[in-house]
Amino acid sequence: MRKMRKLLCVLLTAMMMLSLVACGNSSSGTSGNDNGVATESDLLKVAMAVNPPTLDPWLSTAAAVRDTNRGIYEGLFELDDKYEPQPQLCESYTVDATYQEWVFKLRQGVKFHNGKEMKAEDVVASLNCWLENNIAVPSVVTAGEKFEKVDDYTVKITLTKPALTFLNVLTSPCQFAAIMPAESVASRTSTGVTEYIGTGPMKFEEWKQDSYVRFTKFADYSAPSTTLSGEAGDKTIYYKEIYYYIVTDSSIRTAGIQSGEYDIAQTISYDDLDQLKANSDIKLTKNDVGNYAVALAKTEGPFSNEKVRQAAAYAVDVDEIMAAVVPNGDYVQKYSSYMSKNGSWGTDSGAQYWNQKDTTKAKQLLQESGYDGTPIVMLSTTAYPTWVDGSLILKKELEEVGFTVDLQIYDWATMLQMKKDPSKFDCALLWWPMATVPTALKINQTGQDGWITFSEVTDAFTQMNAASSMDDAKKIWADTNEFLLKTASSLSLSYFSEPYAMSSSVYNFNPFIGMKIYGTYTNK
Amino acid sequence: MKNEEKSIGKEAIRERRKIKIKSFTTNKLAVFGLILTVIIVFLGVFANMICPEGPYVMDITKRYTAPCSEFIFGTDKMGRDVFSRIVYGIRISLIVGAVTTIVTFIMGMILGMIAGYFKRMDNIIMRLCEAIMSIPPVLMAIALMSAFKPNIQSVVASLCIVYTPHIARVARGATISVKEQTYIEAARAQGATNFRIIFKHIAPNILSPVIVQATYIFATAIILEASLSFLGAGIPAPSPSLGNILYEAKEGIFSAKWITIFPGIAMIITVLGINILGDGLRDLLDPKSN
Amino acid sequence: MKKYVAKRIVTIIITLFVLSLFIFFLTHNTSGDPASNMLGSDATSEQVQALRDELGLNDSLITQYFRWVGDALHGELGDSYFRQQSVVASIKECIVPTLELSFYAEMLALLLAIPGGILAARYKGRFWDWSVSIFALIGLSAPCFIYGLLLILYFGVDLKALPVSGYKTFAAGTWNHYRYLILPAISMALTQAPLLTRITRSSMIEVMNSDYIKTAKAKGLSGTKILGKHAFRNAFNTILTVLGQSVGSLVAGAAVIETLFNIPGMGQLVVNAVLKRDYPLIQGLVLVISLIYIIINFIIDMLYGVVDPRIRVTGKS
Repeated sequence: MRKMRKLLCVLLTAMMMLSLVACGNSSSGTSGNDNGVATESDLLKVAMAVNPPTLDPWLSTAAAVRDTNRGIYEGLFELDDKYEPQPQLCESYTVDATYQEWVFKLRQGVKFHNGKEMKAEDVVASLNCWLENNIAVPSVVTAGEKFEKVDDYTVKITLTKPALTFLNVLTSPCQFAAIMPAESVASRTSTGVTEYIGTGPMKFEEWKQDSYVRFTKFADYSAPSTTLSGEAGDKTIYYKEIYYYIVTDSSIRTAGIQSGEYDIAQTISYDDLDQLKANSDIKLTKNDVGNYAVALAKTEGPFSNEKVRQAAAYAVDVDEIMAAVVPNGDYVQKYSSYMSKNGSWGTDSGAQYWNQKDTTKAKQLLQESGYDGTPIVMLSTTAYPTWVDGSLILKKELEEVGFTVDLQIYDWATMLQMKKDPSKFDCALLWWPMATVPTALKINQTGQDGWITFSEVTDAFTQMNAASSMDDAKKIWADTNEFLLKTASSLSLSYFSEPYAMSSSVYNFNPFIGMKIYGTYTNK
Repeated sequence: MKNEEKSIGKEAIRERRKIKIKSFTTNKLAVFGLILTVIIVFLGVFANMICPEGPYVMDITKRYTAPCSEFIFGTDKMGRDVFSRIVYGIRISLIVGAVTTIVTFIMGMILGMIAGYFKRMDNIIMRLCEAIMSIPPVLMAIALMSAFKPNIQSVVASLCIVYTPHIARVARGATISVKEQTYIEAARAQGATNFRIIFKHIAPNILSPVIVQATYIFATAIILEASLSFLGAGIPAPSPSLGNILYEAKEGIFSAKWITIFPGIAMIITVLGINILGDGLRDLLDPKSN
Repeated sequence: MKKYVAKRIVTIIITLFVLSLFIFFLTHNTSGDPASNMLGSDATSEQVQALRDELGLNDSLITQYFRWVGDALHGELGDSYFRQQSVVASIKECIVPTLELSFYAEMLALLLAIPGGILAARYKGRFWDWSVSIFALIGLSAPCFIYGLLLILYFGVDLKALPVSGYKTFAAGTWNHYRYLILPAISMALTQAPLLTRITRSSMIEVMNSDYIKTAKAKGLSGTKILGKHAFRNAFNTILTVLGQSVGSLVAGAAVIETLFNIPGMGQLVVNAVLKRDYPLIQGLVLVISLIYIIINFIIDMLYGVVDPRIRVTGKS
């Protein structure tokens, strides 16, 4: 009898956990005994998965940088949970009919962490520095175009090309358009800013290298009047002090969240989920990361031949690979689109070229292509064990249709260097972080992950930016998506998300393209 | 006259060896070590007969299967049979240990003898050895691995660079003390070349202390390879070594304890056997131990 | 004696010179580069080249080497690329946890090794000797991370008794400080203790076979008294020497344990520096660690020389 009750308890908890996971991405209210009122607590301890190379917002494209420093800084615009740009430090904006002259009115009375008020010269200095560094900028801004100060609370930029997607680029999550005091920008060196001062709700206190980053609540944070949605809106935090511990070992994060060492843990291993679901002290939620894909080097080597690429595309069994890299099906969104379907750019056009698992067709294409058995150099890295797992399956699948594959596994620093050089590799299974607008995708930049500049894509991007409406732009993008899949420019696998865990006393924790703790509170 | 003396000496040595071998067989622990090592070496050598499918067969639908009749040690995250991975892992770990030992032994002997015999070379070789030895082995090996292409040859090469100075130092010390012996002087007087003296007269006489030193290297090389793999700089996947099976096991330590436990035990048994056997060998060779 | 010391110092200087060459060319020959690592995976090669220029990485290796050695001679080891602080400051910061961890591990190891070794020596060839020896052998036969993983599983996850990762200074409370270091210290002690046990055992046996102990035995002193009063005191010299050397190896051996338990010490610092290709940090760290090792050995050799003049004559190296 007692056993039965215990079993029932476990089952009920498991069901509760499941429902939590299911509604993980919805905005608020996660559990029963929470009264819904945010109360301020002293301390929040977060276990972060990756050590950021820097906290400078523009230097690095690494997602770990964005995860760690986004509480310090805010942008003129931020993304809401539909990936649409919403004004944050900006009060209002105007743009002409051809999307070339953008004028931004700033919110007044916004204070930096050092007490100074944010004014136009700070915005101009910050955004001009961002223009020079962000890799998505060249898709909308011609070199030499700069932001200008109109008056103390107005800035503007004039573009030579129409740029419908300018705001989307301005809100791209990596290397984001952070606003900092003009002095911080002026004292910035080749290795990044020397002081971390922004307008965000989290004030930077201390960065103990390889160990933790400590923040305190910024008392003078001036929130916009809108409620929080994604990154946009009122970002008030409910903790006096916040520690972001850098815990790179996933088993240690799992152990730490269970022992109560951390209140929140980023990126839990899929294999630890069952164990955590059985623990009533822990809740789980999802974070959307990006898409798994196989980058193909198209400038030289076997994959410069379109037929060889198509053969590989027909050989690939997406289900098998995804079962290895994301073993829990709840965290996979299987579709071929290069853009996430969470936003409005996702599309199904071209899906007929994806996940066909047609080995006969693959063998036939490979024969036609004249592939001579040159070994395919497949690159992977010890830094991401799941990439290696997926590569092993991919290798097996490619070998089954007649490819010769040489799998080479390096550390991250070496892989970074090699995947920029198409002569050093032929393919690599990896994931690309979520992009919020197609022009921010790397697909048209020669030298990045084996990509080359396709004139078709360049033309499409130009047309999209000159389109009369977003809907038209999206139609043009759908065709481009199909073109990329048809020519097997890379092997798109699936979008995926990863589990984040929190203590059951933590509420309103909703990661959004990475770690985010605004509005999160503890209720014991 | 001299020849007679020499042969008498040889007799005595042979006699002493006999006694020692006897004491080795009566040393129960050493015999136990020998048995363990024989079993382990047997597993390593006949790996492809024991597990004909090999360690690479993946079945993603069977990932993390607990030990059962089909997979006696369960499966890992790729649905590979942990037992075959351990058996092949033992083979690779033994190869790493053995090749490292042999190469360091040969390199160390040569460098040590050159340093001990030619005074001019002494400074150059020994300073380099000291420089290498002053860097802790794990750090040294990681740094070397980041300069090499990650594969088994590089791992062995790194371990050899780490351990050769240790052998060279012992070989040099022994060479210096042997060099002054009368029979070397005699050989030199008879006009033997340096090359001949080194390999014909010095090498056989410094073998014991060098072998004693080399017996340590086998086991420590296996452990160092495991530590390297644990830091992600060892033998790259998918090749199994006892070290990298444990490294991969870490990912699933909460849900699949068998991948930590079985290879862990295999690792301990392998090194334990070699250590015990090494102790026995040292008793046999080390004149100080009697 | 003076001549011998002078000679040793000259060889140390030559060794350091060889070492500096070796480290420099090894680090600069690794694949991957700090600039692209800093800029992230999407940076263009132009951006990478620009940063390499600013960091001085595009100068010839010889120029870079002399720049580094010249600075090092002034005690200036440069700035870390990733840590927004100088190499010297990084070392100062990171050496504290490592020294603490090594000290606790060594103390625990001694606590296991000395009674174990004495017990084994006292009952040589009997049950206790066997059990101690076998435990010591098992301890020697596994890399320390296996113990670390098992301890984490049991104490951290099953019992939830101890934290499994991180480090706290004394400022966070004495008990808090120890709580974080218990598991890593035990894992390190478990691999350190066997060696010390064996040395304690063999040096105790050696001393107990010596003539004066035999005399003491003949005088009718009890076994335990001999052990406590005479044998241990004499054997302790050997143990101390080994201890001195093992502290050096412990500091470095901490790399794996510090990585596993996420302790911001020297070991983790080096591993991270290598992974990020933080050249100044790698070079500076290896130089400092090696220097510590060389100095400890130098002091031990000098002490030997003071104790036993014969060694000076034969010139132990």
